[in-house]
Amino acid sequence: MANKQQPLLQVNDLHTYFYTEDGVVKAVDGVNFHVSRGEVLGLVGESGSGKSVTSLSIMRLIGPPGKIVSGEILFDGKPLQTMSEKEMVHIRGDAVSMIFQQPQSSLNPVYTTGDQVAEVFKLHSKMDGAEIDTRTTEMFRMVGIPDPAQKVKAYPHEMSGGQAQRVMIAMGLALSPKLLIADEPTTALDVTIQAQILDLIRNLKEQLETAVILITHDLGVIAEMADRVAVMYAGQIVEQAPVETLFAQPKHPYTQGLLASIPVLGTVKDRLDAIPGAVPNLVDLPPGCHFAARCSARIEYGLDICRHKEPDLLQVGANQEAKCWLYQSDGDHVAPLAGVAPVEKPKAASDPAPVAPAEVHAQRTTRTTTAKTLLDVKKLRKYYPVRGGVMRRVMANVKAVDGVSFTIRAGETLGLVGESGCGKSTIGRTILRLQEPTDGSVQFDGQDVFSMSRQELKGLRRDMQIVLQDPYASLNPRKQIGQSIADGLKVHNIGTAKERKDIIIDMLRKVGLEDYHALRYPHEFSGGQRQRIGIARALALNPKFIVCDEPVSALDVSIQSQVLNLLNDLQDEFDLTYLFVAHDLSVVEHISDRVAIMYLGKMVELASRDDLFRNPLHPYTQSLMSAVPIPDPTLKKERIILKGDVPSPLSPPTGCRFHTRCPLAVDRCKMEEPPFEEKRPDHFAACWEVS
Amino acid sequence: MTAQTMSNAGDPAPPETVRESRKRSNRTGYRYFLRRLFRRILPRIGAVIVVLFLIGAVFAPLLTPYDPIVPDYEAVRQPPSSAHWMGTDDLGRDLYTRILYGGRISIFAAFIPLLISSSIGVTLGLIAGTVRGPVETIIMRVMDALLSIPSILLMIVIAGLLGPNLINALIAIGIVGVARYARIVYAETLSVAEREYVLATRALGKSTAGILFQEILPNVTAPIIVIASLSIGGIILAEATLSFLGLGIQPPTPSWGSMVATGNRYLQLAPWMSLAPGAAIFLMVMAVNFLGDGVRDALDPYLSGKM
Repeated sequence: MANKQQPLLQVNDLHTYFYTEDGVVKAVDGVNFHVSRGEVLGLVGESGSGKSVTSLSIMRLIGPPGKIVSGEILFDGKPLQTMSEKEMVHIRGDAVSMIFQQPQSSLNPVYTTGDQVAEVFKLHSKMDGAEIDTRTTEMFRMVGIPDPAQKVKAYPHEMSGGQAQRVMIAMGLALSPKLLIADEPTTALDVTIQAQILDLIRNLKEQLETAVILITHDLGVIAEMADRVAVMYAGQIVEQAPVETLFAQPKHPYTQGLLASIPVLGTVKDRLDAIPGAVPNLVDLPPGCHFAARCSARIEYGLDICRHKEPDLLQVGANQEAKCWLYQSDGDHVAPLAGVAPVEKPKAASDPAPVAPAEVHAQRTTRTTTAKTLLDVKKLRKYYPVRGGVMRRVMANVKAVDGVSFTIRAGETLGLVGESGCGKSTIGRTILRLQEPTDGSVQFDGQDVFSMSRQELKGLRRDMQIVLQDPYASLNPRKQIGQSIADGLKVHNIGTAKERKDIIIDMLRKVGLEDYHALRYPHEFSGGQRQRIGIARALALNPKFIVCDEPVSALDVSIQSQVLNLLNDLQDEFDLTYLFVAHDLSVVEHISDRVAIMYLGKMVELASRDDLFRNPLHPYTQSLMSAVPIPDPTLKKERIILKGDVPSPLSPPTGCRFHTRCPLAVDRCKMEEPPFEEKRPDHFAACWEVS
Repeated sequence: MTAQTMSNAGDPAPPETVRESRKRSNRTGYRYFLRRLFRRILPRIGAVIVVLFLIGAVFAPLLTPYDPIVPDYEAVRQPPSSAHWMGTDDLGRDLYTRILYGGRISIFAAFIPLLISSSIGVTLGLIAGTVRGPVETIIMRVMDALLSIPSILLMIVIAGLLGPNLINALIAIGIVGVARYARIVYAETLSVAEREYVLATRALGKSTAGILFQEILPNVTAPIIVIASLSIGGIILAEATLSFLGLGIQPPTPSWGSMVATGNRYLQLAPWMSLAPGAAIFLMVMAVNFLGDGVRDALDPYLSGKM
């Protein structure tokens, strides 16, 4: 059999192309890497970098118009690229298995989850029915699904996202494969559930001695899970190193830029270092290094060769390889950094080493706290009735927001954080009366928003705007973006046609676009650009207050930092007040002056950013913060892993809604709801156990 | 990851697009629309066929020596010949002539019901899909009821109630077609109304009517155009059925549908009697389809770069 010395998986010069109407998309363009037995290889990159296509190529799951053009995939010494489909069937699921990003859409809704796990045994083993049933239940227990004997009979829709991902993992690991490919396994999950799943993968991997290829865009997850990391950019691996080396001494300018552009929990910078531009179009790539167009090091060192000739992936340090002309010579070109060891990082790269929080926080002062109150929300409730029966009577209420009060001062940013379904987006939309409230009051600049007539409300729209999450869905595909931006101006009869045109151009420039963009349609823009357009549309009316509803969560990390910086600049320039709704604690910490944490329709904690992140009072806030993966492999932090899932907002738990998952819960928490009160000066929390 | 998302790169726009943008600076207005519509061959063919039929209908007396109505008992059921290009019918009338004249009725008869059913159906579908609540329930249940009654029966009832003449028959055909548009537009609207750009324009203060017709309608046009262009054939035949029952156009005035219907009786003896008007209907449906597809693509900004 296979030699123990050789790597489990060896990929040599893999090229996978997609033959589309627009041309040949070189999704994977000469990729080399290996995975050793029992190792976790992290494959990190932005969307379009080719990381998923690489993994699908290994599984030979590339369908038309895609094709593996050339290259070698050796698994246990056997070439997968030349195997017949029949032989591949035995490899898939048995020796190599895969789990995907969207657990609920990866499971077939018409079969029970147990049947779907049993299917794997039926396909690949000769076990009889009874044996398969016991093994299936055993797998459910192994992946930590509560009450496995019952849950095997559950259909996918009866499970939460976290449980469905556990089922996927059970399917993936059912036959103890030698290699597990996990493609963004936790991206669709909430951060506390992500912590559970990562923990599970780590434990099972050790138990079963499975090697893992972990594909993700999240450097925090990589730092936490991977032994070795390969960084992909535009279809190629640009850097490869052991995880500690990569985070301590990134060599490739892209890796450096990526590390510098992410907000890190507990480390606040005035400004994020953004990589300019976006991942290039993989059709008709110019010659030379794929990253050249966005590379600041190329300009810094005045390198010309990057535009003409592609560098090789070469050794640059112990076990470290980089694909960059900074470290390689060729003919006339002399590598500016070759042999200079240790390489001094360009200033773009931040030091990911933990710094004492107090010191860092001092770097950026939060905005003035004496300003007047702009928005005053009192006891806001929003219930969604669930109707049923012939008469469509209200059977129950989804209590999306259940009695939330807070204020926002003029010129500040209030961050609103929580997991999915906690009601944070609903709050933003109800304040703007895009949805009618069930109860409560909102005062905006002294006016009562909820008692306004239709006409008054229209006037209010000029002052209160919203930026939405999905840059692909938030622009009308049939309208030129200039028309979209001008919409608000037309509705409110602002200016003549000529003046409106000037405003549009002004807005486009303000958000970093060009005036000729006004005549284009949304599909001609990248995600980051569309989000800029969404911001321009909101800004055109010159509002005082903007609800930012997860404005960066659909964007790649390098684009995310561009948009966050833009929001920051605009706030200073136009004196804007933001309600920043997000699920990502690091992003919220970066942008907010004050932060509110929500759980199941209730606010559990509210304080200034520094107070909240330095000294979280509520156990939910604490566990949320500890669940965030930090992009620093040397940091081994104590983790509070919450049990179970968020309960349904249809029938929230009695007393304190968090008591079912709370590590501190006592009897009182089950009976009485804790008041939301000032526990420290300007620091509010709702918990019986915090005095 | 699809090829589409991958080609969505280029943040900031590459420099060559400056030139490009001047080239296609005027990308609205109907001249631009027509230019895009006729950039491809099929819509052009469709337009030519439709125009030829229209010319034939308008200038029929100049294009044929025969009379469409007066029988010629010397020339009953003659096969196609140099004198009668498409043959003659059971009363000896020249089929080519009758098709030219019949176009006056049939083309008119095809588009009036089309306009009636699409305008009413689209509006109802949009309203039901956006307003929701009791309005939605009432509109859609009425549409379901319309769909559940056999369409020919419904047409007869409506035409009968309105009184037997061509216009009333066309109105009846139009009303019967409403439900199809309403259902399709309703389903599309439900999904489009949930998109964030609708929410965003509401936040800008736009009225419900503005949202319905400016934001949602342009995004649900594709299926409307497809149903409309496919329904032409059915409408022409429906007109024939009503006429046959004495509720529409009365003999001897020619219409394509009624010609097909009459010809059916002589299918074995004189197949050309129904084949000739059948071919006219077929050509018309095909031409409108080509045009419809062209309109749909020309309205889609996503395809603008590719055409």
